[in-house]
Amino acid sequence: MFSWIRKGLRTGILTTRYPAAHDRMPEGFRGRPVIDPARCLAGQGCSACVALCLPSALYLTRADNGTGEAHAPAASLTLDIGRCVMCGLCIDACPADALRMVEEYELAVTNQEDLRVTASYAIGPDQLASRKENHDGTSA
Amino acid sequence: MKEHAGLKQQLTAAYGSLPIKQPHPDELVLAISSESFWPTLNSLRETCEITFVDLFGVDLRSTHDAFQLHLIFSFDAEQTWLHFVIDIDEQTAAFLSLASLFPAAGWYERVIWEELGLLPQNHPLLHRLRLAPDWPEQVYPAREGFTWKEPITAHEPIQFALEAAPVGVVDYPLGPVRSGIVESGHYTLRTVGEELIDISVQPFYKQRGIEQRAEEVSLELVPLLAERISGTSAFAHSLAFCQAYERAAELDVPPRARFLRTLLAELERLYNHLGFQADLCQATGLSVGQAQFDLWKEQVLRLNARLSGHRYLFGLNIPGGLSRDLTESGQEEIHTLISALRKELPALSRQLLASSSHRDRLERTGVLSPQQAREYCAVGPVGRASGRDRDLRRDHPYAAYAQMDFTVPLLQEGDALARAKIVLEEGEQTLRIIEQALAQLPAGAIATPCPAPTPGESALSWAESARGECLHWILMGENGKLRRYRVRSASFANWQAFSLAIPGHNILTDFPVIEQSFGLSFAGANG
Amino acid sequence: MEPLLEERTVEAAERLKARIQRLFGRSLHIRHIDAGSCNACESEVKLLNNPYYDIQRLGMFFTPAPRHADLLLVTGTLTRAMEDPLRQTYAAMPDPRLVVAVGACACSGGAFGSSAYSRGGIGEIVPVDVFIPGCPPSPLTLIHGLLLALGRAEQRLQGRTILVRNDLLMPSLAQRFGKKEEH
Repeated sequence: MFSWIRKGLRTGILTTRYPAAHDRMPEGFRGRPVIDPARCLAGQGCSACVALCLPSALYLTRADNGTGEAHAPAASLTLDIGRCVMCGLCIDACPADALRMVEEYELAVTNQEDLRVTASYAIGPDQLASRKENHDGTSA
Repeated sequence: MKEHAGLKQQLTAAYGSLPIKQPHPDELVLAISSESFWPTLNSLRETCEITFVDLFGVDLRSTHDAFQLHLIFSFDAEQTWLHFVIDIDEQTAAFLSLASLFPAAGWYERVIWEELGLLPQNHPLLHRLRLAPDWPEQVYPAREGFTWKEPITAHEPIQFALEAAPVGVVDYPLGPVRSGIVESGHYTLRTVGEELIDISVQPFYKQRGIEQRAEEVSLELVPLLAERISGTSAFAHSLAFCQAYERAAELDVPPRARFLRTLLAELERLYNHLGFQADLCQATGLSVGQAQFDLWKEQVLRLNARLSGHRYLFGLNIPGGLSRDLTESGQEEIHTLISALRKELPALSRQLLASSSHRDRLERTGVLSPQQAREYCAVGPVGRASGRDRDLRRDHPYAAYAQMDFTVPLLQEGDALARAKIVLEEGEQTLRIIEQALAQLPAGAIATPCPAPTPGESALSWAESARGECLHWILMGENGKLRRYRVRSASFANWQAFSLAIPGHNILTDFPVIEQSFGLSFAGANG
Repeated sequence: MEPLLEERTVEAAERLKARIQRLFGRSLHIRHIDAGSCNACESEVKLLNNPYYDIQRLGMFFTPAPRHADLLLVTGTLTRAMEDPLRQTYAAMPDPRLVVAVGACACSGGAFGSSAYSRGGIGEIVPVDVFIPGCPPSPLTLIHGLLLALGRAEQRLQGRTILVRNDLLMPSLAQRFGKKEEH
């Protein structure tokens, strides 16, 4: 009994001071992916990350240009952290280095929409008006 | 090629001139008819020391005009898997139940019945097992044509009612939402006064249909699903899947990958075993002991995060090897932590086993006798505490375990104390294996490109997770997807044995101790 | 006209703050429920009581009884068999009560999504006040989420839509990086 008390006292204080002090996650920790819309090629028809995303956290919406073409340029690409499982496959698959993983861990939100970042591709002023949400939310 | 004179002779005697295929040195495959398999299994069981491991079904009607049962035994004396394949035609859609020969087969047959629609004749207790109560009748998820994503209409719930308790006996329902931070599962404890006389376990509240989902996604995403069968055995499950893939593609991974896989698998075992002791201390009320083991578990998880970017080692196994290498500094960190644990763990173990408040609650509690463990094929530390001398790392070595020197502890008492002692001893052996893997780590590549297996190829693979043997079987289909994915996790095998440990001089307050001493995962059993 | 994303966030924050102010003191009793997780989230939630994180120093405690709980911490993707138990547990909690969805599975189904086996997230059954993404979310992520539920931490993530002029930017980038997809 006393041996346990001694052990506990000898261990000392290990408790994190978070939130008073900001702890850091180790380098390479898979916190969440971040997308750089300026580099992303979804607007040109790329869907490398979407094809690999098991939970469909990355998904495209397509512009309705009337052709119903399978590889039409995307109207937008959305990254939904609420669905993401932080596997990192999208980061490796992106041909344009538009995705990277950061070590952030303060991810909680009160509104689910705050988990979504959408890159919206304005193809031309007339297509902005006629864009139809054709949700392509499934992965392979 | 391994010599199988002993087993092959017995098989030829039992099955006459049927061809015995040997697709791999450690696996013998026999195709037999449904009429002959029961009587000949009976005679084989009496003459040979074979251990029942798995029984599952596949729907091959579109290509072979029949369903197919796969029955897997282990012949430990020769480190061989004995794999029977039995065709069941669509008209009969039935087979003779094996539960009278191998009691452990009971649950497996119920799963075949509810998922594939094949009737096990003369089954002692034929009720649904894993499917939710409101799952409609005649919707068979393992049949081709079932689509995982499509919602199905709910059915009037079918509840399995226990017989009413006689006078003087109280049925105490516990769950699925239970106190503490535990997984959901239901127990009905039957008590007379304080004494526990029986239990009915319903662990199947968490079916997510992983096998069916894996058959619909592209092959490179299946390791992600395998990891999430049971998150605390993520590395073991993804390893077993990748090994099955590599076995089907007839590919050998580079030596560095084999050693790294061994090292990482042991890190997973280590944090699980430390967590096991912490949970057991919580059950007996030894808070300081719980805190001490939790500290070490946290340290191992943080080490995992530094090595792989994920605390639970998700995302490391890929077919062909590993996705990340171990750096020099990573090796240093592992070495530091293991050396510290090497000093601390024996002292902590001694202190734990010397604490009478903890030990008294474990001794002679929740006894699983060796005979019960044998009949119900208990695996992992639970089996080893009840006299079952089996460990896949030694009996069917995979990764780099054949090059590792370690002992497999064995006890006969089968009580909670025996299980705790086995887990403590295994923890110490794990430290030895990690040190050996670090010392012998070869240089070189960590992965080779792995082509997809040809359609129609199938392969079996396995891993010893912290809780016991996990088996994965894949059948390759068209379009780069699996046709059939079968997972038998260790917890599924052990839940049957759990109910046997309850009766026999246990009181109601022993229940949490027995539950934690088994340390089973509900998620793994559900799939 | 539909309110802008920022306005919606502010509204949600105001509502949450009003509810939190009704919670007495700064202590919180949490009831955990597993709605079909893989066990990794449970392992992380259990670690909140270990000496490294020790949420009791923040006034947060786990309670076995929903009737004593202020906050329902839900893990798992909501399998069919757990729908009724979740409803009943939530109904057993007295007001004021908060619900926190832990992990990708509870937020949206995660690796499982919605299927014949599970709902894909708990949002359809219980109103969720805080979403904590992750697979599994680490204990620090969980602490941030719990403090956010109490109004004692700031939200870091902000949803937004970024308009990219495709015709101006894309050709030069396409030339520079090359494309693996055909279109």
